[in-house]
Amino acid sequence: MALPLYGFAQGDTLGLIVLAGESESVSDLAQRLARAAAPRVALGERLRVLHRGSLLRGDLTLTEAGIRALDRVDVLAEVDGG
Amino acid sequence: MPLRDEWCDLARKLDWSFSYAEERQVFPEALSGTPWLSAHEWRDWDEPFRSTFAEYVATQQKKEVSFQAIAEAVGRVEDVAKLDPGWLSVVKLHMATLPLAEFAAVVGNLRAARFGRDSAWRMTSLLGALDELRHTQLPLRAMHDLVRWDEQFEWTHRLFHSNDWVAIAGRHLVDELLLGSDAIEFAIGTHFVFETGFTNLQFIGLTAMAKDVGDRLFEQMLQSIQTDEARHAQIGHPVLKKLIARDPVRAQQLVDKWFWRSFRFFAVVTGFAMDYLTPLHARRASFKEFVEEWVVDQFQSSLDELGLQRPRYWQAFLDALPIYHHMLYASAYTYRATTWFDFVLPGPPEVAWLAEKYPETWPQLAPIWQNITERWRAAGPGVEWFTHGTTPVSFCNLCQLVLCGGTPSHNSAVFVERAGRRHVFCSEPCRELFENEPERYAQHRGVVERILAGEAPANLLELLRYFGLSEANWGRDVVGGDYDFLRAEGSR
Repeated sequence: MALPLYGFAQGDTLGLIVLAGESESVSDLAQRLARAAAPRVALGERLRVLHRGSLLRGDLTLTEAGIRALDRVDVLAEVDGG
Repeated sequence: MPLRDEWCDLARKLDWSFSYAEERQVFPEALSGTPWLSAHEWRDWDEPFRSTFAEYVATQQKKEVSFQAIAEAVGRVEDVAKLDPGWLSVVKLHMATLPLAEFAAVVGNLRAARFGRDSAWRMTSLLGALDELRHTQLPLRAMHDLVRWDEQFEWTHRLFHSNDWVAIAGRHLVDELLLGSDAIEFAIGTHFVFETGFTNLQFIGLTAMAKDVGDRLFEQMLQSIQTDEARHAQIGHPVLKKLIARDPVRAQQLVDKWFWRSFRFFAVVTGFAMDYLTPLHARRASFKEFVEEWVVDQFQSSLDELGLQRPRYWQAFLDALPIYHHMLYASAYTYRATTWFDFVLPGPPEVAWLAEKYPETWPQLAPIWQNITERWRAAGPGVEWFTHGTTPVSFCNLCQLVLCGGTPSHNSAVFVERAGRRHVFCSEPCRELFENEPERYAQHRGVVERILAGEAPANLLELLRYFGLSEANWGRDVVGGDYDFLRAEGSR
């Protein structure tokens, strides 16, 4: 089932609406959001997803990560050591 | 005393006692406004202009003749075609948003002309309605010949009848402020806050820029409108004074609300025009500088004079002033096909100007424009899609504008659960205004709600058609990315 999510890319100027699959991985979601924001920001390859104040493991599915429809997710560029 | 002065006051104060109906029935609170006060309490309502109908007609007729002469002299297609293409986008933005918003103001003024609580107020509002009818007609007259010349000018007439996101946001504001407000809220929100507080940005600032750009028609149109606004905006002051005396909490709440909503509106219309679309040589000051002069200083002194506090969202406004319209413009640039006017990519001189005018915020915005510039350079002229978003964007459930609050490092969007529905707001003020009057706003469906309900398509290309746009009229880069600075050696 598709989950509509409010997505925000670090360094971007606006919020986006992305439709993601429940079984999609957090990493895939991060890549999808980064591509959507690419006209304005270049986040690089190593990304993290912030959801309800926690950084999520990339290998979790969105369901496993507790992401629900219309949640806010922030995609951040991973910094060395971070 | 001249005869005119003798009868003018007598004629404009024509209140009477009702025999067949109660005063509350003739002036119901829902239309006349809260707090409901008896006619006796409004009888000292006064404003400084005191125009008679004959004087009004004579004055307006002279203005019409003057404007018509300018339109005939410099308003032909060949005159407009000579203007800077970025400036033409300013004109298209205004020609779309102005006429029907002004027409809604006719309705608001007519409501006050019937339900205002003093006869002098009603008389002045009647003249205000005639003013706004004129402000509907002036841009329609001025741009009439351009609809055949340019598809985007043609589309300006369609905006408010479309599902375009700008139209949805515009209607949300205009419907509430001008069509849905009672006479008291209309007087304070429209006359005191919107017109007295903010429109000088247009009438002083943008008029000066129009002159420097060489657009005499636009300059004259704004000046002609300004002379009317200066008169009927005076209605707000005495209404607010009365409200402060009887219900200062409500007076402050109305000022708070309409101050924030007006700022959001002008950040788009005037912010885009002053800091991006007007060519650099014609920019006399930045949007922020104009706001500081005409809103921060002037409006604040009006508040002080009335004994009102600064609007509740004053600090949020000051924080947003150097960045919000920049966030919105960069977003809109990369979603330009969702509008009906073209966008300017700031080149090195414009970027230097913006960096100088916005030293505190531009460092956060510069990387975004560097990224867009590099993508244009990589794609080459004409390849619009490489610097254009394809994912639908999200909108605030109060102002209906894109979620562009905060900064690039922290978007200030806030979420609220209410009655089983998740609402999102671009900022704390928008959230608070919504939660103060949820019954007024909760049923509205913005773009995202329409997409989720299956009414509007999620695919951006199809969404553009839902907005009423097509390849013939949607917004592009103003020169299709064909800028000298993108080709210049060593400019990377």
